[in-house]
Amino acid sequence: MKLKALDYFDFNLSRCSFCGLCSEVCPTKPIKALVMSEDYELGTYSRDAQILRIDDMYDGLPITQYTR
Amino acid sequence: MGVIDHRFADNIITTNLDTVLAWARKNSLWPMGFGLACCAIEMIAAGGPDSTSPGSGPRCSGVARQADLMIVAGTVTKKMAPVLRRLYDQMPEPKWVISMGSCSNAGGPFPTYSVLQGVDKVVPVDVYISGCPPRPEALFYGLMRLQDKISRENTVFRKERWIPAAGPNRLLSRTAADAEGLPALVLPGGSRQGSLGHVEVTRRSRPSRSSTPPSVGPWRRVSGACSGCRSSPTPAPRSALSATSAPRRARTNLISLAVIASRA
Repeated sequence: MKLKALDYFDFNLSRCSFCGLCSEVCPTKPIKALVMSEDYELGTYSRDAQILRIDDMYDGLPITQYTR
Repeated sequence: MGVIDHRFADNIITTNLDTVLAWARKNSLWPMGFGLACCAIEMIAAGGPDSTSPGSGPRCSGVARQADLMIVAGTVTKKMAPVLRRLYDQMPEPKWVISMGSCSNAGGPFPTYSVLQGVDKVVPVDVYISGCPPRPEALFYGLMRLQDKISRENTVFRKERWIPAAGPNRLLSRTAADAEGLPALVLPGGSRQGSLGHVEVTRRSRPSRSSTPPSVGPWRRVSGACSGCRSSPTPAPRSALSATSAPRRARTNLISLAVIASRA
């Protein structure tokens, strides 16, 4: 069975303008993969720490595999 | 402190000089609001009565020579960058810099010829606050993280500070406490060490901006690992985001003030 996996998805907090367009057009169904959160305490000591990887943004919900 | 503890009167507190100076410095921050764009509106709102009560928050100073904290809020254009650097040089030691907002962090939505891509190309930044613009609460969070950083600083032994974006050869003329030994900030919502348990992905490294992108690594499906997400696979290594493994330098215990007071 062919399967597509997201290899990496980096989210740069210091480049984002938090407009919400990406979560608005996120095509995954029935649950959107990208949602806006209400976290605001995002200060870091270094600029590298502002780049979030997949595991930093994953909220821990179990992933259901949809075939189509 | 165990030897000289409880050997003086009750109104004598034994401590070391680092603690006292850091306590005084972190609680008397005089920021210089460097408002350049819409982040300045939020910075002004952070000083207003909706966010702070009178006397609780820091008061912005308009003069660089009376300030010890520069809050760069807004888009730093390349025409403004030398002015910002000059005002930074006018500030007396010790001094800190907060970069507020996406524009001053990394250029924000302006990757253009006229905008400085990050204010850390000209001044050393202590705390980066993301947001476009950040809320006043986010600014207060950054201020508190700066206070944590100041409270860990060593007041006597200081290292040369260099601008990371400009390379290690770009030494500053000032000395400041180094940022080593600071733990990585824990992002809100816990550690968030999730894992994509169904498909084990042989992750290729992030494409570095300087070299050519690496070849596409293969991924393979792990048979049987999909049963209800309980296989607890190992999460991907968080190399860039993990806590600094450098051993925290032991703070030098200076002569306690009480000993000085007892000799006087």
